[in-house]
Amino acid sequence: MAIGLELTINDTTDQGGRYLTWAATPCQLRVSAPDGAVQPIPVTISTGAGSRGRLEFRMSRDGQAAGQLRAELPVDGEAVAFFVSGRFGSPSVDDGDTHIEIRNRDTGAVLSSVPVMVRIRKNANLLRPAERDRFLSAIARLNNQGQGLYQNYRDTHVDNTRLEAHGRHGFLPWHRAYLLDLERELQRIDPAVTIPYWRFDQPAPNVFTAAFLGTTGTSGFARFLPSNPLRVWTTDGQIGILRRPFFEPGTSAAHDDNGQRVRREAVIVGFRGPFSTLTGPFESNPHGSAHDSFSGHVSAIGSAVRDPLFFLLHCNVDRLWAKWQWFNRRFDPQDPGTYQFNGAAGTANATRIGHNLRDTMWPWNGDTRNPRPATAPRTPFPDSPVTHLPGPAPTVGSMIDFQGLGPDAHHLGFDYDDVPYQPE
Amino acid sequence: MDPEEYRRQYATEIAQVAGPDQAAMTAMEPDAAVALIGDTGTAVDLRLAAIDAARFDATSHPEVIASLLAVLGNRADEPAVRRAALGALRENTFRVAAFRQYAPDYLNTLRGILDDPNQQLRERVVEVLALENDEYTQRRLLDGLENPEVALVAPQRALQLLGYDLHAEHYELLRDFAGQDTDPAARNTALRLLAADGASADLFARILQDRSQDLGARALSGVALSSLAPAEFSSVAEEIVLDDTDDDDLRATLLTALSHGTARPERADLAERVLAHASTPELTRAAEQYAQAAPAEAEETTDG
Amino acid sequence: MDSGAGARTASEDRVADVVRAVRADPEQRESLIDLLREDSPLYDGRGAGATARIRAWVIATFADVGLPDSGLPYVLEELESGREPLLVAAAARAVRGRAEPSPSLAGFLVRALRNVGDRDDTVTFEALRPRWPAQQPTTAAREILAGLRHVGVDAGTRAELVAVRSAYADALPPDIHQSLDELIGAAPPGHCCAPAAAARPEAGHPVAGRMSSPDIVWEDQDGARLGFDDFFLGMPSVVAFFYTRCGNPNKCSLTVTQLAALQRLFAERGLTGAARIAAVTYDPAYDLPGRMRRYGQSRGLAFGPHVRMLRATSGHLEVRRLFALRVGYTGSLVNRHAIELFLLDGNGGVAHTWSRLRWEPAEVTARVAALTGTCRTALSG
Repeated sequence: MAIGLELTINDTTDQGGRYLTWAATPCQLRVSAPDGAVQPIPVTISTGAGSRGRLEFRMSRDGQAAGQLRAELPVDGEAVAFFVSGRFGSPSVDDGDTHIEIRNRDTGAVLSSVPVMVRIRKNANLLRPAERDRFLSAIARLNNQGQGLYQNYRDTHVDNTRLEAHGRHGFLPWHRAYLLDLERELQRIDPAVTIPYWRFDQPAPNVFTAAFLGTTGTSGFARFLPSNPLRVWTTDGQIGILRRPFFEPGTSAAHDDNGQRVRREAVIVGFRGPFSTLTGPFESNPHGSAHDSFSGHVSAIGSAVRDPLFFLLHCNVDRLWAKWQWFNRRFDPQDPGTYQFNGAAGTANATRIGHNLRDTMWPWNGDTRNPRPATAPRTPFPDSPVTHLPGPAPTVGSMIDFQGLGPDAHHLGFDYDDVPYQPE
Repeated sequence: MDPEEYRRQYATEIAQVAGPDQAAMTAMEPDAAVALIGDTGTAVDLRLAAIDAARFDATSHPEVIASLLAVLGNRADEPAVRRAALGALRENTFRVAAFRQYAPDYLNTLRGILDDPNQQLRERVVEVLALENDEYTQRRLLDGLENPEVALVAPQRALQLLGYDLHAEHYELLRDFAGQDTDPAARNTALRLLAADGASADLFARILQDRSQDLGARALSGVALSSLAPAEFSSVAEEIVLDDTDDDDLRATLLTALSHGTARPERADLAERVLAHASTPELTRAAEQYAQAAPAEAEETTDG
Repeated sequence: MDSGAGARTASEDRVADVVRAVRADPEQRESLIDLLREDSPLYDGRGAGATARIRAWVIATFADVGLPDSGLPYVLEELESGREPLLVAAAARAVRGRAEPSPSLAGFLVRALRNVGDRDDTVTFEALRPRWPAQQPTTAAREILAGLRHVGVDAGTRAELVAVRSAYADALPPDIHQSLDELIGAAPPGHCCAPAAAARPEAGHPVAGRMSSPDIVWEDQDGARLGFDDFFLGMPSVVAFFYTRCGNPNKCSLTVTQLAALQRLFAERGLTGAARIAAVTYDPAYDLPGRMRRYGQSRGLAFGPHVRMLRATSGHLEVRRLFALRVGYTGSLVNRHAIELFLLDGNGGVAHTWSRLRWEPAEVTARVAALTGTCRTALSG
């Protein structure tokens, strides 16, 4: 018989909750079997030896992070609460490749070693082959040659839905929810998957390859290796992805057929003005410019989702917004610099429904009344084993503080490899 | 990495990198930009610079959009300036709600360019309109496929552009192209698009099983069949995958389709048998993926 | 490469001839109706865009020769559910052919403005096969506003126009805003929230008799096979038609969403298990069980023994004939279809049909309740 411990991560002891980001994740540790011990058990909580990712620990959500934590575990089963997060710059590369290790401080014995994953959205150009293949397989299976749920994402990003998501302030929050929705479905297929981002302002020689998103074929269709799941990518019954870049992806940042480059990251992140003056220019360039750097499906809103590149492109758009938020400390939804329309549609100073902070967003809210589209084929918003947020009908406001920095806030379960978690 | 240190480093990087580009986040006065953009007597470089400045938040300035449309539609103007105008308009079309009020004039201008003497501009615009499922463009593409003298683009490209609209009028032509062997590229494009036609499953089954056919056509036919008739595909693919006298890349492609589709052969040892004699890395990889994959159908349980 | 171009030209020439003849003699206007049947050979193999263009040419003619009652369902269908600016513009024009303009048509025009407010385009009616750039351009919104000026705007419609102006504040061009303001300004103010009850002409199907066929074999969303009578005999059935690749969300996506609402109403009114709901695909070769299942689930349909999506694995042509379906094809793809809903009694007899215009789940439920003998519950529920 040995001392038994029970570790609750993200409010569950289930394996499904053992996915971390840079954000502080709540944990409770308790003695489940004292094995005759009568005094509190002194323990050290740290990253286990041999872990691929690194962990940090805090006693409170906004407390100082440390590489290890000391605690005295009551033998009556009362839990000790703490927070764990991935250490910025040290994410996992595989499911369960990192361990939360609990050692007895007196004896040095390892009492428990719980596998977790520091699951972070990464630069697609820097992915390891196994990470890349995992993503490709998951998205191909979600599509299931046009029979799967992927079709729903297409149905919610077509011409009758454009006003819900484009051209107004809700553009960035709506697409953040859209990405997270897809990512959660991918994680139901393979929980270790995140959506990688394509940094369109840099060359991406490892992205536009036959093993990943395809090379440019003479036919105009992207070319894939026979074992690449995108080789059999089918939408609406048609086979393949029409895509031809106007730039040389291996050596150049994205630009349109006239040589006009996408705005660089530093220009967006370094923009000091409020969100209201950022969002419009951001939406046209780099967002529109990145789409327009290709001929083919991805170059028009109605057909863009036929190409899975769409999600890597938009993941980068979202990352840029996230990084702008971090660099400019724009996580407080009530700060007008963070978001302009902080009310609800129909109230004073509000804008169109779906673009105000307190509005729920179509399609997840199922609202099909005018002026929303007549149907909502993607409802409700999927839950996640790591958090019940943002709930079945996310509001625009629920997308702002994605790391859970504010009082009583909670992370949404995603982070970027180059956007730290930095409580005030 | 310490986040605060990272912030300091990043601030330095931004200061060095972004400084000259920050101007790109500041609009030129619209009146000044419009005057330059539309003045054909001004140097091209200056006009291009004005377009670059004016494209920032152009949707908020009707006069800027109007000047870009005027330049784009003026066949006598400098091609470089017209292409820049199209680029500026294109990126602003992604701000759908904000651009919507200009869309009718924009599309009208584009249609006028289908007969433009500037080939580069014309070919770009043909695709932009085809992506909008524009009927006039489709009509011109069909006319060109039937009469090369009036073709806007080459046949293979015309098929692709028509194919942007699933409901276009190209299925009869696709079958014709699928049945010829003089232009393999056009044939393969036709097969890709014809895969949307449920009535063509038998054609795909025939091509897939015919070893005298082009390998690319067989692979595409396999993928098409897996989408249209999974059960039939499953049994045909099983035979080919196990036939080590057939092409390895074809076998790998079929295994990939089996791994990511709905139906699986009943033979449980399919992957093992392939791996026992796999001669190429791709075939090995595809077989390993197949061994790891469960039928995709099982994942369709989380909806709603 | 083939004779396709010649055949297309010939069929369009025929349309042009009929239109020309009607223009010369408006008393022949009824002959235009035949040109609007989706299953007409005119549209065999034609693309959806070409089909829309031809229909628009015919429908717009009503503006000049007069819009008869028989043409009204086609016009209102476009205004209510159409998404193609050319066809919506044609329908809005056709309204001006009504001899006695009725404000009840205004509601349809407002709905049309909502439908194309986010996707308007320049269109033209200068020729059946116009070349561009157009010499006489217009837009759907402009035609809709002209239609509204023709039929008049009451207080209820005025309120709706105010809402449209607000919803599309930044999506409509300045001239449309100005026209909207003029219409709103000229309309009688009031607090009335409902526009004049829209005239909804009877647009039912000309099918009758008992539905049955030994040649039709269904496969449902789970792959179960059953004969026609297996599902449609023994209790009343509501049968809708759809296909998963439909590009107009106001049609198939909405139909299936409405079927889910109908299913919920059945539950509320105690009709679950007393009547069946079926959605039958127009595109059986592509709409395999998995595709149908995902499509239905995503729109709220809860499948069960009495609620299914069906594809004809054999006998699809017989399905088209039996239900006289208003659908045309390019390849095996639909190029055009109407909204179609049938209520069959327990013997497979056609008890009621809804076509072209949207149907209301409450009305369908009431009719089902009447058939099942639970009329009192349904109507008082």
